[in-house]
Amino acid sequence: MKTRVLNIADEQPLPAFIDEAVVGVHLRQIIAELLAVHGENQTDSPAKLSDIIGGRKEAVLAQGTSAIPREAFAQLITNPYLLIQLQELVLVEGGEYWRRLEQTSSAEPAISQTRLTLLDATTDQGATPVSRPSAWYRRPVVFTMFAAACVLVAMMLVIPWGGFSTETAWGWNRDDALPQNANRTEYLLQVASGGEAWFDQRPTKRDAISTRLEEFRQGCSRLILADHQPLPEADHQWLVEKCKSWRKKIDGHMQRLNTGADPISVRNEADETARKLVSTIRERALPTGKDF
Amino acid sequence: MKEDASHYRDHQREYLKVYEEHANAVLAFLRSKTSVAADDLHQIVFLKGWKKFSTDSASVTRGWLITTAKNSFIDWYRRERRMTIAEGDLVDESGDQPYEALLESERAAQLDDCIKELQEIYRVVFQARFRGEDYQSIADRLEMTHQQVYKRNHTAVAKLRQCVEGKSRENAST
Repeated sequence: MKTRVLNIADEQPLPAFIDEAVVGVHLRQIIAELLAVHGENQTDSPAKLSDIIGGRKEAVLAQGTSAIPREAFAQLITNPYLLIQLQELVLVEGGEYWRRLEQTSSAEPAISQTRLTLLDATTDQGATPVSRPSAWYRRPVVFTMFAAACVLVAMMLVIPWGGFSTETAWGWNRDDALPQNANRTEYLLQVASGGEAWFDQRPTKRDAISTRLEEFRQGCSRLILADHQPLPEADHQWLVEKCKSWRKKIDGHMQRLNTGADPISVRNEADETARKLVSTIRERALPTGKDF
Repeated sequence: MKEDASHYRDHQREYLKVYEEHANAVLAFLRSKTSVAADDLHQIVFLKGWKKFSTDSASVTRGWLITTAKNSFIDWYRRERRMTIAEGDLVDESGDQPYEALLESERAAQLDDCIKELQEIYRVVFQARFRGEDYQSIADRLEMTHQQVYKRNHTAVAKLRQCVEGKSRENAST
């Protein structure tokens, strides 16, 4: 279990960290940690969040807590239980800014589990029931990164994938990323989850973003080359074509990063690519006509 | 028959899109209320949503899902704790999760100890950052340079990480 407040990057403004916390799944823990950070320095608690955000509610809904003046923000942060009220407000009424943050929260097993439950529950009689996968999210040893896709291809000819396992791989580079004994729906959902792992880490420095993009690209290469046994030919072809196109986009992000573009902007663009590819695969994963 | 199946399939796809759009938000909401039951309640909320969606798809909005999540949590809480929560009460206001109790959570307590053990020159900067002060204003107030403040905060975080990890290891071994 991480101490989350100690994971804030040196350069990250606190409002941005708080906004991510508010729509993330670890808010309770972060509140407890903030209480520990402030110890006896907590200010008298205002009764309501509205006392703090005052007439800036619309600005907060549109831009996040950076819209709150510094003194008021200090009151909020030293009375962190008010973040629960803020959470409900922004989850219901928040604008595009908050919705975007929600989608960048890391993939939680609970999200996949409910998705599978819904697929079970919403698939009517006569349909092929979607069985729950074994606990695929348990993470065994995983893969080493390869320096470049061409090296990756060459090495694949001689050494099996498992031979490169390390504890640093993520997403499609993990050992359990592509379960060849899953059914079609499970398999595609798992592929989507592999793409969603992009959001598990939020690097802020150029080098770290570059490494992350490189790993993302390597994952794409692995998808292109994989057998995809659970997939019918049409799905297989579709996935490979999509991967090629996503890999091109990732190349574009890497190129922008290498030519001096602002790293956070590049990361945001890559977020968009990841979001799109995840939703595209999930859409494809839904039962086809043949399942009914 | 074929048309029925196709219609049903479209309906299902539409609902799964609703799920993708709101799943993270509902989970975040529930996890802020309870860590033990959030994942189960998450499934309950979206199964209720499917039932509602079948008769009135337009009504399954973000607001409806969050309200359903809140009510499902209250139902669960009443069952679990056999206590009455006034309608409309929020967890934080009703005392469902006293924050003193939250503080007792292992990591937070360790962090609390470590902050107390931290040298003041580091603690002051770290706490100021967590009051929302930027490096420059901390530097101005403490008559230091921006670089000094940045470095002290960085060191404070590194020391706290080391301290918390050390206490975790101690706890694990006892």
